[in-house]
Amino acid sequence: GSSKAASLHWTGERAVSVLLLGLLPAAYLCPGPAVDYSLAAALTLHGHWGLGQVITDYVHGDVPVKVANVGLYVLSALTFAGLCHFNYQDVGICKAVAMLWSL
Amino acid sequence: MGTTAREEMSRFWEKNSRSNRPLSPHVTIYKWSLPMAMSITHRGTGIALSLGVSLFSLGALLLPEHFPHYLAQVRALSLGPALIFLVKFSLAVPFSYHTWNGIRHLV
Repeated sequence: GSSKAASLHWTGERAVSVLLLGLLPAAYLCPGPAVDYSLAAALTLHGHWGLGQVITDYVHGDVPVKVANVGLYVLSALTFAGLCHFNYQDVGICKAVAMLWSL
Repeated sequence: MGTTAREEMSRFWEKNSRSNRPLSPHVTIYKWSLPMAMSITHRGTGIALSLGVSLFSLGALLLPEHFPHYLAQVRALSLGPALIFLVKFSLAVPFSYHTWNGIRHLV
């Protein structure tokens, strides 16, 4: 039922968190497209699930919850699209951070 | 089968919103504890970081020039090293807090 789904979601959240954590040294040691796109995916998903929890905690009522979740989906989709676009057309996440920090 | 947690929650909220009860003072009167403060900070940094990433992403989609162009513009501003350090620090702090506290949650 829905408690199995909730339990899987919880596990998924921890898994993505660990993956994202692993990507941080990877970004430093082997910057490149593989890490860039993995970061784009993991970062977006981690943020999407995180903000989802915030909505669940603070937004109440059928309509506000629905509106907030749709808004979140739009934001996450745009975020993922933008990050992928940046990786494809621009210097990519790893390089961008390195360049920014060398300022 | 009985009610699900979700059903019970939404029944509670429907009844609660209808009765227009005033909100009991919580954050204003309850004595702050370190776990409480760390938890809300984790949430706050998470939200801020997420919004930052989304803003960056939207910029990547909407701005006409590429990243090196804008970075060169910032470099051309010739900001003092102290200011640059401050900006880097204020980016690094929420990121580090959220990361390290996140590890604490994972273990």
